[in-house]
Amino acid sequence: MQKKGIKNRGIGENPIPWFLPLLAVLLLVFVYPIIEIVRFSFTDAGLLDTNYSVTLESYTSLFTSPGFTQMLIITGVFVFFSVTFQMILGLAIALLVDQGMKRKLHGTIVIRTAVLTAWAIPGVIIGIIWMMMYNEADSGVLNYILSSLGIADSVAFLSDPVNALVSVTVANIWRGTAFSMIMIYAGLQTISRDVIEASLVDGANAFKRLFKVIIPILSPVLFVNLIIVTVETFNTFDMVMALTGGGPGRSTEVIALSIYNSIFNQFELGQGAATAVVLLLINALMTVIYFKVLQKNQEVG
Amino acid sequence: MKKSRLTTFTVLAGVTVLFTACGGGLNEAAEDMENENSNNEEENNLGGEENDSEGEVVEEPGVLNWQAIPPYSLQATDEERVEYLESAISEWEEENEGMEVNPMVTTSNISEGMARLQEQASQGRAPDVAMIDSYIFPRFYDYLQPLDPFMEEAGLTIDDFFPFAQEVMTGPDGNVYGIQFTTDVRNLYYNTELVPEPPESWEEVLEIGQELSEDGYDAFMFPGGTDEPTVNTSLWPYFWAQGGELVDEDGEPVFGEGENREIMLETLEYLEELVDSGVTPTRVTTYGNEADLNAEIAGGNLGMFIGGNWQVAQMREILGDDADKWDVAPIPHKDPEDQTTLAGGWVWGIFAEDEEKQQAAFDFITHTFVEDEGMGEWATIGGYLPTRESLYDSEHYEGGEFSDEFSEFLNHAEMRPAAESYTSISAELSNAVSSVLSGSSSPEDALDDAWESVQ
Amino acid sequence: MESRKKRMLINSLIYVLYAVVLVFFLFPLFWVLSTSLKTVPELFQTPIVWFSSDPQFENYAYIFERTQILTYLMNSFIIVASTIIISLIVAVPAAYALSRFKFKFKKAFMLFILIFQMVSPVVVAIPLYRLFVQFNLINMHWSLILVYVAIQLPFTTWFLKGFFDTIPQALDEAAKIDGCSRLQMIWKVLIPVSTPGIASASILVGVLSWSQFVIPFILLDDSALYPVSVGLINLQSTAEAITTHYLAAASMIAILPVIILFVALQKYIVGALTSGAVKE
Repeated sequence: MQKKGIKNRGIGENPIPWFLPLLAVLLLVFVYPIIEIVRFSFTDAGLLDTNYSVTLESYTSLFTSPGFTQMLIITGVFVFFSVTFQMILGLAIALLVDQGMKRKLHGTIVIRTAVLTAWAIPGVIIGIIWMMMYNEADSGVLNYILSSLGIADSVAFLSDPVNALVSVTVANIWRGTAFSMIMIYAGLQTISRDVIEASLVDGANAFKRLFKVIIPILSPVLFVNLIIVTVETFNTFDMVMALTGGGPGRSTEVIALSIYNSIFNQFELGQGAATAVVLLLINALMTVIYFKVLQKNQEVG
Repeated sequence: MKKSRLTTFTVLAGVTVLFTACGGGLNEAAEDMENENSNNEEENNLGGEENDSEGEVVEEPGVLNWQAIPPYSLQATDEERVEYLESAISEWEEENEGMEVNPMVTTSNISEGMARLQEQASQGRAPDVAMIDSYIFPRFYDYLQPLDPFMEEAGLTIDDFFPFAQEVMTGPDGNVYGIQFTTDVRNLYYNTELVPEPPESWEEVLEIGQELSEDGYDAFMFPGGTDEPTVNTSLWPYFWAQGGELVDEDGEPVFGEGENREIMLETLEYLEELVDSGVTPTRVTTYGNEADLNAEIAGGNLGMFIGGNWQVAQMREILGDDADKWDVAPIPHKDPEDQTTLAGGWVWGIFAEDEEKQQAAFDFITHTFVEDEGMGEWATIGGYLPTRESLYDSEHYEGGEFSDEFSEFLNHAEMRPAAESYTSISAELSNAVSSVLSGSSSPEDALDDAWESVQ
Repeated sequence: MESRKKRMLINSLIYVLYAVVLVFFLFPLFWVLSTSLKTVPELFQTPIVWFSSDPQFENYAYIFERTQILTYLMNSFIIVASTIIISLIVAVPAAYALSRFKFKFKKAFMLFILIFQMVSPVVVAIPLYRLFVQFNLINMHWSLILVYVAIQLPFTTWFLKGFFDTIPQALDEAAKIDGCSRLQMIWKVLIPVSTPGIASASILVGVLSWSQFVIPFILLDDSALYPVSVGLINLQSTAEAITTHYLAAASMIAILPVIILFVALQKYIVGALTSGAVKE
């Protein structure tokens, strides 16, 4: 026993062995592809050619292409609103479900399952579902509902450039809220009753309690959530691809979709890789900004 | 599969047992690691076992790996197609003792499927024989086997194929690298109740269209999304009819220079005018392919649209007898004399290295899709157009509704250029069309942006 | 503590909000269900057909008979279950160490892990395919699972680390005094207390893996090994065949297992803490 105890301590107190499996998996899977992507980004490789030349063309054509700024703005809008609403809705539903559970209301499981189911459907199929609903012909169900309620007549959900971006974002919020909801709900379970009760005794009203007690306690969870959701939203393209294909024109072409299109529609590996490197840098930059801005208020990492 | 589940549970159970008592942590950790390793090994074996299963490239002498897209495969949703393919396969297997066909299906998203086939070919993992979209086919010449000796032996001459098909099938060295076995063509469909006489020119389209839209109809539609069908139906035919060239002899883009630019601009302006005058609703920008127009066709409010010959069968399926009121005509051009249209279609390419397999693959596809009987039957069942001119007089090709008209349209058909730059030209210009239709760019800006992007 | 009246009021308010949430989240699913039972003409009919007058259960029969959906579901199950388990086995120790150890460059290390989350799976797929071909790892579930695990690890580690942070250090101390090694402490104390976090992580990893598309599409060219997300896409309408109703039916079938998984796991989300395991 004694011996084992000592050895244990040896392994136990050094953090490195604890990370070995993690590092092994990450490096095994990612290192080679990442090196390859960076390498391809400096070439004009196509999917099939074996002889390609080294060039900066992919980057220069990306940065000088007339649509680049527009693509950044579109991606920014899409990510900002998706993330904001997914988190707000996720938090709201998590609180609602939490209250429902505590009050032993019926139907709470149904709510959680409904939200989650949306997220379990592969993105391409979500795109197809929403495309059917947004359909602007007479058989489009959303326009049908809106016009029979007398709210609006034939809304150009997908054919107007601005509406299309809104429509895509709404579909993405529908899809992704479950992720935030589950994370936040799990976080809520760690708040002990005492804390809530103490604040009740203090006479804090519901809103005060939310902002003064619950959100501060949740902040580490919210922070992780924010970063992950941001990164994931920057990387998502499948639903957009099926829903609008980036159109009309380029008005819903987010960066990740442009990567996909370069590789899978135009078979230009070099161009896709260069765009992917840019996206990676944007993701990293966003994360660093989050760290800098948010870390001031709280303990992270 | 069962085995891997079992493994998983064993590992789980093992881990559970290991951790339940305090003390002896080191051994546990070690055993745990071992367990994980053995887990991997066992699953590894499992992977090996599953290599025999169908659907994957099987490297065995007697097995022919044959890959098609879903509607051309045993996974087709149309019963008749499946029956035809099943009997063709079993017939062939009977004739070729000891050989079997391994049917593989690629995805119904064509460019994704073609991207994966390129990956497979570049890694030497392509199926023995695969179906390739005609406009992507030229990318594969380097990886495909020449078929001339087989053609000769089978008594097939390339001259019997439509000129546009010959162009695709023949590689830069003059050898035949594939067999185009179906083709399709774009044309005008019009609802005879609303449009008694089809328009023959842009002017007439606008004229008839404005009358219809004043009466509350949706006059004229076509795919206007950011995808290949948009340029196929609504840009290339107009552009080509006026003498426009997308690429020069070296395959470099030239559509944005000199006279080509003028023609392209004029065409985009026509599309803009269609929307501005209310003849074409902007929602066409949400239609990425011809079949997306089905909802409009079913709605009964549509006067005319540009689509593909294969839609005849779908219209029957959706409209039943009401499909009778639809008729076909050539695409109306700027000059009423022009009838230029676009042909597409699919090509079989043989990747197999082994000569026996090449022969087997060739026999299988010619038997099923290329010889008089095969091509005739498959085209009749699927609603495709044969690529060999002699087939149109053959007893084996019954054709379907309008097949005489379609074969006439084919005489004016052109194919997309066999240049590597084509895919990005197409992507940029379908964006341009979609931007113009949605009103987010002027024709001039859209064209300039597209031109700058492909440079 | 609330008065009955107030309680009733709040409960009804919650129910109203429930209804709103349900409509927003269930309506598209309802539409899929309705579509899955339609005939082809009904797909495009105006005015809209809410419920098919002649529900086409054949659409479902078609999926079972003509596609390998059961194989796809089984494949998905194997892949997802293994991904969850292996992700946890790898992520729990790392998350624990990040939560409990103090060491230099911890923040940098956490950021380093996160970098891998930022790499888009679309671009990783192509080089991975080539690598897998070289080492003959293509068309195997276990190599695919390894990739899935790697994709989920950064997030899982971060999430669990955040969760472990909320668990009082005092528990560790108590376990140490009992003579438990750190591994035992994790198994005997930390994991039971963290059930909500672990169950949530399992759900998140499970669902994310369930809907993964590009990676399996590229790394498997054997259709007998496809997970359901890839198998389904072949039912997408092509220009030449209308298959929307089949796609809808297959989607309904594919959603079911996720619902079952979730219903099974969610009771663990409200686990340990309410049962008083960490009463300080």
